[in-house]
Amino acid sequence: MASVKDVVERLSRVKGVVGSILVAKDGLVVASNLSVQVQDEIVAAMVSAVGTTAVKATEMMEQGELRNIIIEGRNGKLFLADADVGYLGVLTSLEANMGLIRLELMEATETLRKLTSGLA
Amino acid sequence: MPRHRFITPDEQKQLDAILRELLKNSDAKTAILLDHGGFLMSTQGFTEHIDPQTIAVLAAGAFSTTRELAKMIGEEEFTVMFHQGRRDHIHLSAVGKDALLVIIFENTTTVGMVRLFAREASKKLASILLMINERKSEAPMGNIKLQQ
Amino acid sequence: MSTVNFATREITCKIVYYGPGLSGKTTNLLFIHKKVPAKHRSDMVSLATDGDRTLFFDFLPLVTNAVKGFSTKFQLYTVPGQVFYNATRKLVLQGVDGIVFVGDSAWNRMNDNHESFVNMKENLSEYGLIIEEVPYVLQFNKRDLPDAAPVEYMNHLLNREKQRVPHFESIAIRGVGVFETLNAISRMVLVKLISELSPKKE
Repeated sequence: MASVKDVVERLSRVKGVVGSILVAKDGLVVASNLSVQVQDEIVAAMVSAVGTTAVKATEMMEQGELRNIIIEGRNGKLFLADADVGYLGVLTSLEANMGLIRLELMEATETLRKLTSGLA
Repeated sequence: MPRHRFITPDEQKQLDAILRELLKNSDAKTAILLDHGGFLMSTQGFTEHIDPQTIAVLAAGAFSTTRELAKMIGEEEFTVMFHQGRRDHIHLSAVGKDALLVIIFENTTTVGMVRLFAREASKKLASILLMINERKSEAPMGNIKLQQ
Repeated sequence: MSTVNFATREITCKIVYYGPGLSGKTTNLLFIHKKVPAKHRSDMVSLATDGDRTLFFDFLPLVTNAVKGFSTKFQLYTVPGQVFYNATRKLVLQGVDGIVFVGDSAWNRMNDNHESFVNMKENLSEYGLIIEEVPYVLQFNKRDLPDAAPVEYMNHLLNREKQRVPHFESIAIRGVGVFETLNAISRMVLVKLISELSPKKE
């Protein structure tokens, strides 16, 4: 069976993905595969902040449980999903196929949930 | 706390296996299970150049100290301690009521990963230790005699 | 609390050297460390201040073959004697199986001896232990002092619980009485352990 580290690493190899990271809900890095330009800790802190806020937002606006978040910048995109043990984040280039990335992200989230069920 | 503790070969095997599983999942280097008094119950993983017994005693001391600190600020106890080094790090966490888990790991993994799997291991270890601690105070395997 | 491991065939017991500051607890351990061959002991760990005072504890593990079929490990600890270190002193007593109370024979330390003994009973009670239930011996150290108090007096002062316990005269710095004390306490601890473990006779 794949390890937590494997799941995060596999995600970073998807076409168009620049880096991937799994961050515990309190902001601690669990596993990461990021390029050297961005620091793990900064991304981790941002991911957990965005994730926590988004969970709260969907709840307050009665949109149900958070599924995923997409943030688009001028240079690239950030995808986020709630994997129970933490937030799974994916940084992509501008040209990345959003549909594919979302699919891969959901699949990785499911695998992580199975791998760590009961750990959160 | 019971006055004596017996560990049967079967229980020892289970404790060892949980630590090995933890090391595999978290990519950590060494795992040591001990009680609050510094008694070693299991050591798994890389132990060259380190003395698990001494680490156990010092870790128990460090944990006791932080528990006193916790009380002073009105906390019951700090359940996790993390010592960050340049290359090697130590993660120390409570297991049930009277045991501790020391995990030594390098930069190849993260404290987040170690914490994640330490939590899982702690739960499993605690249930085995509970069984051990609740056993009646009578040797389960025959007589023990003093050498003379 | 002693641990009996049937997988590794090991018995582990904890012995604590207690007593007032500078009475010679660390000196006892240092002498044992020096005399016991390396294969029967590990390195000694000392958490001391700059002034050579024990800050937290000293720790010395010994391995013997005192029990048939088991390797028997004794973990020797000292506590810091200074009055203001009570928090750490209490921590070291956790899970104790036997105690050596090291008293200072100097006349002017009798108050300190007595205070430390009372303090020991208090700290034991925090772990739900009473002195009658814990094997312990007394060691009257520094018998070579010119103003050493008579042994009878020290017994009168410290050996007055319901059950009188063995006492040993020592000059720890020269090793006199050190092993006699250690042998006695380790035997007492094991005898108690074994009697409590043996299946009760019908």
